[in-house]
Amino acid sequence: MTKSISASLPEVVPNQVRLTQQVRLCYLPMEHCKGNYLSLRFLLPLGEMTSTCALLPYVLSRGSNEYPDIDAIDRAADLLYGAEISPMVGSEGEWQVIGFSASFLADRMAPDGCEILDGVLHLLSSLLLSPRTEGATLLPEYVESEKVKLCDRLRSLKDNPDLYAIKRSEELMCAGESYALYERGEESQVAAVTPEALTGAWQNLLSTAPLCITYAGDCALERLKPLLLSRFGRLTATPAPLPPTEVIRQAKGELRRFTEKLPTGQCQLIIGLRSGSVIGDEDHAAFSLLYAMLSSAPTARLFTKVREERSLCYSCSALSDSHKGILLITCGLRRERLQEAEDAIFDQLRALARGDFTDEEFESAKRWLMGRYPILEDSPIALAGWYFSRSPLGLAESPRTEAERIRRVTRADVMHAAGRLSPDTVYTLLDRSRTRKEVSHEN
Amino acid sequence: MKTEIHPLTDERAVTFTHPSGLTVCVLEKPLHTYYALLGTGFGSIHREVKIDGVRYRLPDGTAHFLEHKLFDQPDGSDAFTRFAAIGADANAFTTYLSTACLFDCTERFNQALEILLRFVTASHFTDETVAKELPIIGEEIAADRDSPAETLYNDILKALYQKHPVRQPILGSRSSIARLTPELLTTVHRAFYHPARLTLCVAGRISAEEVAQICDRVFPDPLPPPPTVELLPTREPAAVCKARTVRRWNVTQPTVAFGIKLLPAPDEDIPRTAAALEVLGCLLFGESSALSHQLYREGTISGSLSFEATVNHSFGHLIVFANTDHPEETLAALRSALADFDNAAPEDFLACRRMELGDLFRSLDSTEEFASDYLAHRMEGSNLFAYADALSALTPADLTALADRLKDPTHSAEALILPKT
Repeated sequence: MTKSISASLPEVVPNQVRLTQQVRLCYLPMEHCKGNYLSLRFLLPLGEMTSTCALLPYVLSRGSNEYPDIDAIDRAADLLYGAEISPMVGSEGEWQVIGFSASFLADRMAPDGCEILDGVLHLLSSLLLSPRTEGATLLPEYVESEKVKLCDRLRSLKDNPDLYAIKRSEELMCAGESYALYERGEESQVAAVTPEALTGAWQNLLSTAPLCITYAGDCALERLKPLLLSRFGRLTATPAPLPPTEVIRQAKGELRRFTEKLPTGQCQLIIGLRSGSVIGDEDHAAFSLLYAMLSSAPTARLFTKVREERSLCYSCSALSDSHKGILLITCGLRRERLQEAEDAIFDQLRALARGDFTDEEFESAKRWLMGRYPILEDSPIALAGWYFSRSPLGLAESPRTEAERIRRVTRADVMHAAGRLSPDTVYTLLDRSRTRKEVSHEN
Repeated sequence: MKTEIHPLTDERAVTFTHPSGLTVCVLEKPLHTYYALLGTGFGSIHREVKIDGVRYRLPDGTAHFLEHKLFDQPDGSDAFTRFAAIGADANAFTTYLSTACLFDCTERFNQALEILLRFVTASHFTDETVAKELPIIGEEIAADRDSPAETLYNDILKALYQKHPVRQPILGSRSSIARLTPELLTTVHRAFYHPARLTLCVAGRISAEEVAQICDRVFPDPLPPPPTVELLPTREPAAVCKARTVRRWNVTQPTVAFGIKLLPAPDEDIPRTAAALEVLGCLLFGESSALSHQLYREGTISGSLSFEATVNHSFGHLIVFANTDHPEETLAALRSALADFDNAAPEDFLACRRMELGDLFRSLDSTEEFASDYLAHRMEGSNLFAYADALSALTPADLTALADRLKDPTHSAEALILPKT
């Protein structure tokens, strides 16, 4: 018989270390891994500087004083056994997250004794703290070139109808909230960024924003800490507290409907709901289990009932933002199935709220979800992501603690969580043969 | 049982053949996640087959359709539900060369493995279940056709290959899968899903002995031998089908693909050629290649170049992809990079080889990647550890020799997707 692994493998215990007033380290010892992961993430409120800041990591990753261009950066990274250094732009609730991430081989695995970790830290600090400049300004050539490329990427979102539909539905659903701002920037605003403005944003970042470093790997803390201090110890500002994410727990007014059109072969249906629950809530575990029963577990109703049993669509799943408290149900389908699919999805939500599910379905989803948490300890990137997403709220529960919370969730808790879901917006992206930007609001 | 200890990767694999004929590979990993795949060497390219002496021309998409239908259970439920009931997550995929069903879990591994072995080797196809699957896969085909990346990929394969079935999409088409019947699916299943035609690959905290015990429980008695199977090869000419193909599409930016066909020799050393092709691709067309940087810096391409290198006993190619507002300049640069390649500079070579090794070593941290790659290499007539050794032993001279095989301009083709004007 195989044993319960969760019991037999030691838990990865994080160590939160304040390196300076501005720089915090979340250290995750993962000695068994051949790969290491390190991220440098600055947290900023979504706002008028979001598009400018979305551009910054890309420009910084173009060159530094020591590594003047991408050729030099990539050559250095490749010689470090293919260290993957990536600019990061993302969000957690209404905070924009920008910085760098690095995935790299553990020193012990290098056949020739290459000191990979030290090399990676050297490269990262060079990019972040000593970018290439012209005078005191970030190199205009790099700024202009990255502006064009970011605008291209933003424009090409329309080439991926499913992603485009999600972005548009969030914008429309959360209009008037900071959350509606796209963390990767808006094309017109990115196009207007000047090298001087971007330089100001970079200086502001280094002098005011909290830097969260997350490391997961096999390097001992005693060795890592001085290495990090030698590279980032000059960041000593006292950051201002971040404004909290605005959480709207109940949809206001009637269900809003929006329809747009794109020349694609499939329609996209997005149902936006306020979940009434956010990370850190006492009963958030109930929402997590509801989400599993609805979308992520193998028995998930959107898959088994809407897609498989009724063949209403090719894809049907959900996304949730647990900082913001919203749930988006997404569906790729043919136009003639739109109404039927929408009805079927709402039927499933009502059924869950009524408790119209078997004990077997409930227990299997719970078992599956509890099994997902230990898996995070298998992956440096996944575990680093888990702790980072909780850090702005001062939360540091381990995945295993969360699994225990899930264990205690009852049927009634799930029904209550489903009953709290309030439909806010239905967004439809229709297929058609020619492009014409069109938004209709059908209240 | 054969234990292979591999010092370079610090990993080991235990392989054995179960009395049922099942080939088993066990990769012990001290991780929470168990991952198991049960694969057969029947993929989308296997269209012309003889089963028990009878010749079949299978419709395109047969392997993928069969993969979907494997999950149907006689009581009308599906195998996903059985996995789900014990907290396991199941899935399946079809490639050009193989099909595999898989699951991952963190507990109750033994039960999950029993379910996998039982449902994959049993079959239950009816007119009703086959008909029900047609619109689902039809939507999957539609989604692929909506994707510029998938379309470009299919276009370049069609340009590269004249006859080889790799030129057809893995999913087939709505009309091809409509020709499938329960009888044909049953015949194909009997031939390719007998334990003697399957390979089980397991990664996690479990020993080979424990896996063998589970196999004993599922297949306690000797099994009748499987039907005889002959995979009829397609004689693919060395020259490409069409040097250039252009498609107008609803995209905002052109995308291009430059492909080079590499037909394997009968005695091809697959791990060695695969390692050389990967490193050569990285050096000439990788994200961090000098060419990618140059084109990006000049504004010729958006993002970076990317490439796919594949070689097995049936087919092989190197395909380079780029998003670009200057498709002609990009393609000319790609052609020149190969034509002008002579010798790799020592540091370029070292950087690319280290990068490939680093990627491979890091992938072994995941039971999913380790088991999947281990199985994929076996299905390609290779071996993951032999591939790692070949990468480690590769020399610049190997790249020069391989590049010489690729340089014949009649072996390369290009595909473009351009915005509608």
